[in-house]
Amino acid sequence: MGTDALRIQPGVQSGSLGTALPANRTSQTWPGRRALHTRTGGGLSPEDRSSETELIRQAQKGSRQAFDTLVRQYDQAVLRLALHLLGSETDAQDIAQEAFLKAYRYLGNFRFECSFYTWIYRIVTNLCLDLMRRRKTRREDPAVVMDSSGEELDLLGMVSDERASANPGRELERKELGAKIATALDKLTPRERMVFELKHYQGLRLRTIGEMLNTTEETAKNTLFRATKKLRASLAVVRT
Amino acid sequence: MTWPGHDGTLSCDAAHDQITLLSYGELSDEACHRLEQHLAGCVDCRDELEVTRALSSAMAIMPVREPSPNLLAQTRLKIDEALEQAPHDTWLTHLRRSLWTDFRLLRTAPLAAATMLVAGAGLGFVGFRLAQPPTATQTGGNVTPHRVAAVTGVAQDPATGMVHVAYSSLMPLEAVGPADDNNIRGLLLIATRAPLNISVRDKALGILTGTCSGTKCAADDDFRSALMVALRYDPNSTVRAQALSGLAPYLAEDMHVRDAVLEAVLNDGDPQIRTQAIQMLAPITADSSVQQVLQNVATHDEDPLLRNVSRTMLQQMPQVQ
Repeated sequence: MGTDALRIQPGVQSGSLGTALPANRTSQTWPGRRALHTRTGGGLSPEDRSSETELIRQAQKGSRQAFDTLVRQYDQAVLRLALHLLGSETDAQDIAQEAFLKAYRYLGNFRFECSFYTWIYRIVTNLCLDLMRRRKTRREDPAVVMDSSGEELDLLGMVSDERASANPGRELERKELGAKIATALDKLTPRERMVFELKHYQGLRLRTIGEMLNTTEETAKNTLFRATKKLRASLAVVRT
Repeated sequence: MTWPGHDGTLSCDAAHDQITLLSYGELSDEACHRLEQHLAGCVDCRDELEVTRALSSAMAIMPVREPSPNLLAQTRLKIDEALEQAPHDTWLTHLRRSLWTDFRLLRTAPLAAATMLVAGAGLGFVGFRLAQPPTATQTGGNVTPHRVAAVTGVAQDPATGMVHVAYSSLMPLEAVGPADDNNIRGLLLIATRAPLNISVRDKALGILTGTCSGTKCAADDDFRSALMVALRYDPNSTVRAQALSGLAPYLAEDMHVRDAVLEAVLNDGDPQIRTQAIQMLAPITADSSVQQVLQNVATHDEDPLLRNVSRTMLQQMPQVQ
């Protein structure tokens, strides 16, 4: 194993999960190498941040137009998170609507102590956690995915694979794997699921996740460890 | 961060956690180096690294996807509608929030004591003011609309044309002035949103519409928006009818107004308003969206009278085949 085998690659932005592999494994897929989130508050340039601050101030003074601009900046990211987390277009839509409505009502309480991105995500994650807890209580089946018209979608049909059409056997395997993963994710507590989503799929820093969930980076880290261990136990080490 | 292990090296448990952090790019260079040394001599942990990689590889089967353009558009529409109906903050809410925040920021006892003293004096002053006669009449003057909590009454003197607007600020007040006075207009626009009083909304819209006849208010976007909001969302049909009449002068040049009227044709709960809206469309029947809506109503609407009115309109259009 080379000296640089495990070093974080230079030039890869921290938080984008760009970690080097041992040299003999570099040809394989490494977790999180995909840049899954396209926008974070931390990624704003100073000019953008200043312009956003101005927008927030105007919105706090009652400018609906300024608030609409803020909504347009974040609605897609909010919807993407809720959709992946909840698996339901209807629920994701409701969460996005409620989140921005809350943000509108309580914008006056925003004191610039964190980024607006963190603040709006905090609202969204709280709403999603509430919904996931209610689902757990009602024992709803999260693997059943509904679209906005209430029709059931084939979750596993959404799994992408260019080779699928060329190899039906492989596609079947992928569907079975998808079902196992959905079940494994369902076994996590809502908080573990949230931390795993924010870290693994949305690629956020643990410190940011801690801020969003009103906890410490250390707690977020331990929650992530628990989540990955549970997933591994549930999946009994699936190898692809 | 400390990682337990004898003689300063990593234990396997700690290495497992570090492998997870490594996979998410959360491991420092120093920790990375120590992990590398541990992995060089530990087959189990190298397997752990492989298993972690396999897990993440498996999880990639459910990638995060961008929401579809349709879903995004629908969601934006829902958010817009929700925000439109959300209660706007009054100055009182701002004041309360501001006071509460400032209060939270006061950490020291002397400052808190001073604030309480000032607050006590302030409350005494407010109490004194509230003990005074409850209403005051203001003629014209400077009414700041954002300091108005609610409009409670609107009346117009038929003889003089003067408009009386009763509104609440710190205490109930009344403003009197001609209908085209800016302050009176500002109050009337607030009155169009009075949530509980139908008569206030109706009268305010009536007076605004009356003063805006012709091209006088052509550039007044606030008035136009108030009319469209009333037409779309007001639960009272009289108010909606009033708003519809007020929008007539803008129908030709403003596409947003046209959309609002077409929505009324299709969705309004009152057949009379729908009929009125259809008849208002007569001057702009060359618009293909207008023709489409009329054809839809003429062929599919449940109400025979509306079907008939739409059909008549379509027949009167020589250009429509």
